[in-house]
Amino acid sequence: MDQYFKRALASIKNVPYLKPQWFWAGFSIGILYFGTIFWWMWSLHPLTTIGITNQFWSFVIVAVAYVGSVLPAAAMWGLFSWALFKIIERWGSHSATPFFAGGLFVLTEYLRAWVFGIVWAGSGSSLGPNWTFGNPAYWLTAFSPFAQSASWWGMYGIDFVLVVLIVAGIFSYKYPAKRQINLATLVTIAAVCGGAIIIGSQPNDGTNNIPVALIQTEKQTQPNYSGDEAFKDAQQKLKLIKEAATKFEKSGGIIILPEGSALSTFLNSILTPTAIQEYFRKLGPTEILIVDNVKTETSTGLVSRIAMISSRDGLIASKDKHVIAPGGEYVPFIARGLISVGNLLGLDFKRPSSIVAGSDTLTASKPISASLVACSDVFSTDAVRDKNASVILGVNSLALFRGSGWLSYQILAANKMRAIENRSWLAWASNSSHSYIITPTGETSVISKENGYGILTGSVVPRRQPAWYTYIGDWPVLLASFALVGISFRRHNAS
Amino acid sequence: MPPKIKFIIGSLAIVAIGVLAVGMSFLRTNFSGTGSLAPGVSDKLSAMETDSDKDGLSDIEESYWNTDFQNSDSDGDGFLDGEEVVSGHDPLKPGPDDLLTQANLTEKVTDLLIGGLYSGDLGTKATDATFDKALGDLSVAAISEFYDPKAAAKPPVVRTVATTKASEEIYLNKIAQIIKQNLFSQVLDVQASSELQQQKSSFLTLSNQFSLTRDELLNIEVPINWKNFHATLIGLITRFKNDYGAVGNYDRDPIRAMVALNELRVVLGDEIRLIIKDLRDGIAKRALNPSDTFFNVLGLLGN
Repeated sequence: MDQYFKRALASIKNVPYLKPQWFWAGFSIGILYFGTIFWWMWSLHPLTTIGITNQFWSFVIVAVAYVGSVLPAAAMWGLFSWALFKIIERWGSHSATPFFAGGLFVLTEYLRAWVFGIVWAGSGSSLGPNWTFGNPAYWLTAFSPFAQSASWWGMYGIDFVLVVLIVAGIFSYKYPAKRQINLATLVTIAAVCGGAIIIGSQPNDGTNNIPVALIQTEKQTQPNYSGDEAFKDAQQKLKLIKEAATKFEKSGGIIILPEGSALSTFLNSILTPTAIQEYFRKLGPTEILIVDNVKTETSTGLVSRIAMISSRDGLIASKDKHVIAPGGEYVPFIARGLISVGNLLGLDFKRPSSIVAGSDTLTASKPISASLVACSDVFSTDAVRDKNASVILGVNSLALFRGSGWLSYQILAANKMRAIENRSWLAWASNSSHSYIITPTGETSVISKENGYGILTGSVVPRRQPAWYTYIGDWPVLLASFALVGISFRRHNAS
Repeated sequence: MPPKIKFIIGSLAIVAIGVLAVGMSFLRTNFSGTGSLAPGVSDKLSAMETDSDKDGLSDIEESYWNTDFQNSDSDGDGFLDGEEVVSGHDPLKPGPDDLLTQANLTEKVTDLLIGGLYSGDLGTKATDATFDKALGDLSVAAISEFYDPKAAAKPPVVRTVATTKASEEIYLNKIAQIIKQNLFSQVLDVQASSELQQQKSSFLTLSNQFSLTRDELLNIEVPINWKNFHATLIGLITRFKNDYGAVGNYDRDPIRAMVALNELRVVLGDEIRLIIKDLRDGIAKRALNPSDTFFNVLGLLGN
């Protein structure tokens, strides 16, 4: 087997158009990996949800989106493998090589999180390390003890450790002469991880246990909603809110509505301001907090805003969605060309209404301070991290993706990682997907069994203090990685 | 305010609103005499003109309007022909859809601006107070023209039935459908990115839809105690029809379109909430139990 592998590599090396060498190894693995990661994009087809009824064009658009997402991500891994083998060529089995590899992978993943947003940039979208789809650290949330260390060094720290362990393990096998050095590396890393795990596993829950009701809905995405559809959806939601409020009659609690629920907008369209106050007041004798998601006009454009409304005091906190989704929430520059071509061919494509990335935040300290998260925000470590918040409350809608189970699973993994990083309880209400509550150790406290209208109840416990990671974020790991890569390449150039 | 600023504001306003429109208006009013004015204002009746049916229109004017000179109410809607003409309604068509062509608000504002400049109220020598008052008056005149009280003075003729619990619930379920479909559907197919012509067409289509809805409302049998509510609802639907029409015709009358757009965005939302409040109060007062989802939602909102 080893012989075949060597021959295959040698043959690749000798083909001129496959230069640069080693790029293609990472690229090929990336194609397979990200081809799987982004497979949920096919759940968009056919695009009748945004008014494109032509099957062929729908296929073309989704295919462009899929390829345009997979290729750049795979190219990043190609660059990683190219650079990695450059380091290995020079450093060989040096005991520092696994660390250089780890640093290189962290920087690759960090840059990859930028790339998706750059490729799909559009008017009003946000650029940053926001799109961490497929980061290997997400799969490690299933290995809870190891994942706990993320509350120290975050997701990228997990990436670093993972790659160091793999490379050191391979070196121990391949270079028996230096096995002791590499084993020492493994032991050091294991010890550091162990320390982080032990510290990260210390209880951080406060004393308050706050009941939470997650209102789950099944509102389809379609170009327009008739009045009948709007009222049927409203009827379902209002019934569930009433049911939740009845449960919270004595204790009070938090009711979270999913993304796109726009309860406030609906109430504002049908009731006078006095009647709205009356509605909230009559929900119960104790204070109930309602987390809602509305679209609202700002000076920069239409934004998606998560609002926390107190049944007693009205709006007490809000946060704008920062990581807006290409296609569903704005038209990327690349897609504009495709729309223009389609319209020239008389296909009458309509641009979906666009929102822009918002930045406004209204923070409440009482009765609870929460990090409010909307859907794709969860893939951005910075959008969730908030040292003033004691819990994470999120809203989500996968209606556009027809409730894709694969995407839903990836979002769950990302949510677990965010809960662990911040050592915080996380409650997540969904439209056309699952709703759940995650513990600070990344375990699922409660989860809805299926999509559809329903109510899921549980509780969250505000944390006593923010995690170390919540204070410092990704910078220490990124700086360390940058330093390691810098050292390795400096040595490479010098040699 | 410095005279220079006043002068610049006045000049820019005139230029912006349209020199051409001003010129046309000037020519019409000064060289064509009353050619563009609809005949029929009663104070213009000369002693030589007779008004056989005493409806405020002379017999000569009756021939212009093609109304019956021996019938004071040619369309039989309870309003004198002269009253209808003066208030901008068609004397040959029973209400409520009998408004004559609306005045061009842009031209009217332009005329007022010119007048203000000629009189000196908007001139460079005007005092700040005079200048501000003149601008204020101009705005009020424009808004008054838009919200012409004469146009709304005539209540629609509705078909009534005796009030019973059954007739009320049938009526309420019918209007629930109309309210949901017209006031709560997200059907506005107007995109900022689309061509102007497409936008115009979309707004005019909406105007037409509201026109059809109004016709539908006129054919519903209304229990007597819901008559006032029904008239208010028709009035609201008519305003939507007129506003979408005005926005669709922005190229002919941009100022009316702007005011209409503002009404659509801001004012009519309040009107909808108030009409629904009336509806809730009426249902609660008479302990009715209409079955439509609309009322279930209202019930849930009342906790």
